[in-house]
Amino acid sequence: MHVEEGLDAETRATSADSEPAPSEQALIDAAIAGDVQAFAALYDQHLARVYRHVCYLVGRRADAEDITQQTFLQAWQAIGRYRRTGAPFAAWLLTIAHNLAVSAHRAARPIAPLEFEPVARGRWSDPEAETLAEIDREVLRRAILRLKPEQRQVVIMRFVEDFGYADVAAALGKSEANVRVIQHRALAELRRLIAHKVKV
Amino acid sequence: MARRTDGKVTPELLARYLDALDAGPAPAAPAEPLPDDPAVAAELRELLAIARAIGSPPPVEPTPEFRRRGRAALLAAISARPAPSRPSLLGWLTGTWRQPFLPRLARVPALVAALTIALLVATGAGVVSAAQDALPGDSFYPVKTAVEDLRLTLAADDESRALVLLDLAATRLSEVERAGEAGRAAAVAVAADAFAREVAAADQHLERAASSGKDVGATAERLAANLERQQAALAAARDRVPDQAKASVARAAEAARKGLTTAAQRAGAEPAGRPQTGGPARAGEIEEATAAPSAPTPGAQAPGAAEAPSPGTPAAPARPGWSLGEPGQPSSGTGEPAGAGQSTGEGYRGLLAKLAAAEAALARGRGDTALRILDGFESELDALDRSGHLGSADREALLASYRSLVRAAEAGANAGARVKPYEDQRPSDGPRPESTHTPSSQRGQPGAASEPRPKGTPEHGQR
Repeated sequence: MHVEEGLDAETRATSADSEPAPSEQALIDAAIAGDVQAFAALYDQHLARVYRHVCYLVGRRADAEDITQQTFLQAWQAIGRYRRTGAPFAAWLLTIAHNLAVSAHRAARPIAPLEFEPVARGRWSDPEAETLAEIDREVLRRAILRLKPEQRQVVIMRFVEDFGYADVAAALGKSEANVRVIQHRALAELRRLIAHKVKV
Repeated sequence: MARRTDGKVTPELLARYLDALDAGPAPAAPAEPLPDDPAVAAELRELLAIARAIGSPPPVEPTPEFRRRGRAALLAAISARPAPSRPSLLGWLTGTWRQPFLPRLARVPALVAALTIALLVATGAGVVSAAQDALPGDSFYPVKTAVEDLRLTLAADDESRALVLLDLAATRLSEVERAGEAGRAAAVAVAADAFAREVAAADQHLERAASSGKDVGATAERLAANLERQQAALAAARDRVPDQAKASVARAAEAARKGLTTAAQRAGAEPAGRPQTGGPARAGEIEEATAAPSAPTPGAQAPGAAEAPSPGTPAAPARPGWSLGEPGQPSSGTGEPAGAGQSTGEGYRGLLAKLAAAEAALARGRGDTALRILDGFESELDALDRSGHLGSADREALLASYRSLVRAAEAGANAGARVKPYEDQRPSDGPRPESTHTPSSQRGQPGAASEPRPKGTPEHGQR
C-alpha cells in the first residue's frame, strides 16, 4: 500500500462497512438540507477517490478534472435524491462519475492511455520492473474499458474500488445475485480479451 | 476438501473463491482448495488471477492546484444556485448546472512531506547523495525527484516556490547536457520537457505572488538572469544532443525565452536583446544564440526589441482554462490541439519515460527487458496517436528513437558497446530509410507493412 494512501482522509468502503461514518452521516443530512459547507466537507473527503476513479476511466488528467468537477456539481444538484439504500455515499458519487465519464467519452475512441506520474513510485525499486508492471496494468485497464457498460461498472466497483456485493448492488440498483452473474461474465470476457490478445 | 462441481464455473462458485481470495496468499494457492474437475479448476485459477491483477486504482492524486481551485469553484457555483431540494428536470435537460470553476488558495500536504522526510532519514543521506547525479531512467532518479518534490512542498509561499522551481530548472538543464553527452536521447527529452514545465510553473507562481500584492521585482530579475543563461545553454546543447531529442530541447529553449520575457517585464525591464556574434540581436532565436551573454541591465531597451505587452499580463498558463468543456470535447494538456510539431500532456511524457526506461535497460545489458518495455511503448504510442493527442513530428521522432532502441536491443548491445542508436534518421540527401512502421490508418489493409516488430524475436512476431 502506498504511503499516500494511508494518509488519505477517506476510508475505502467495504461490504462490511456500508453505513457511512456518523460524521459523514451528519454531513450528508446537512447537505441535503442545503448546507453548502457540509457538502464542501464531503467534497474534501471524497475528491481524491472520485478523481482516481475518473482518471482510470478517461486516462487524461485534464478530462478527469473536468469530469470530477461535474460529478460534484451534479451530486449537489441530486443530493436531495440520495437514498440510503445501503449504498455508501462514495459508491453513489462514483456511479455519477462513471456515467458522466461514459457520456463524455462515448464517441472518443480509441481509449486514451492512462496518463499520470504516480504519486508514490517504488522509490528504491527497479524502474524497469515498474515500467513493465505499468504496461501490464494498462493492458488490463484497456481490456476492462472494452467491457459492456454494466460489466465494466461491476468490475471497477468490485475490484478497483473494492466495494462489496451489497454496496455494488445498491449503487447500481440490482440484486446481489445479479451482480455476481455480471461479475462472472465480465471476468470471463476479460479472460477472452487477454488470452486472444484482442486489440484493446 | 476440494469442491465438487457440475463441470462448470458458476457465478456463485466464482464469488465464493473471490471472497476467499483476499485471505489467500496467491491465486495458485487459494485459501480454499480448487474443485476436483481440472477444467473447472483451470478456469477458476485464470479468473482469480485476473481479479487479483486488476488491483487498485492508479496511484494518482489531484494536484494541490486542482484541489483548491475546484473547491472554490464548487462553492461559487453552488452559491449561485438555490439550495437543492429536488433537482428540476429542466435543470438536468438544459445542463444549466454547469458553470466555470474559479481558482483559490493553496493547501500544503504537510503529512506527505513529513513522511517523505522520515523515509529519507531512515534510508540515510547516502541514498540521497547517490541520486543527485541520476538521469531520467536511472534507478535513483525517483529518489532525486522525490527530494525535489519535498523542497517544493515545503516552500512557504508562491515566491519561494518560484525560486525552488528556478533551481529545479537548472538541474534539468544539467541533466539535458549530461544526458546529451552520454547520447541518451530519451533522457534528454524527459529532462528538457520537465525543464519547460518547471519554468512555466515558476512563472505562474510568481504571477500569483505578484497578483497578491507582493513586490517580486528582485525575484523576477533573478529569474530573468537565470533564464537568459539557460536559454543560451539550451541553444548550445541543442547542437550536441541526439537528433531525436532536438525538438524537445528546442521547446525547452522556447519556454526559457517566454519565461525570460515575462520575468524581464516583471523586473521592470524590456527583454534585452544582446548583440550576437555574426547576427542581429533577436532574443529568442535559438539558432542565433552563441556564448552566454551578459545579464540584461534593468530598464535597458534592446534595439529592435518588440513592444512589451502591458504590465501584469500573465503568461499563458500551462493548463487549460477552467471552463467546463462540453461532453465529447476533451481538452488537451495546454488547451491547444496537438499540432504538427508539438505534443503535450502526460501521455507524451509517459512515452518518453518508457523510452528512457528501455534505454537504461539496454545500458545495463538487459535487452529482453528493453524489448518488453518497447513492446508496451508501441501499444501506447498507437493509442495516443489514434486519440489525436500526438503531433506528427513528435510521433516520427518517437518512432525513430523506438526503432533505434529496438535495433540496439536486437544487436545485443551492452552498456559499453552500444550501437549508435541516434544517428540521423533523416538523411539530407538520398532516399529515406525504408520505414517498417505502418501508420495506424493503414493497418489491416492489404499491402500494408507489418507491425513494427523486431524480426527474429518470437514473442514479438506472434502478435
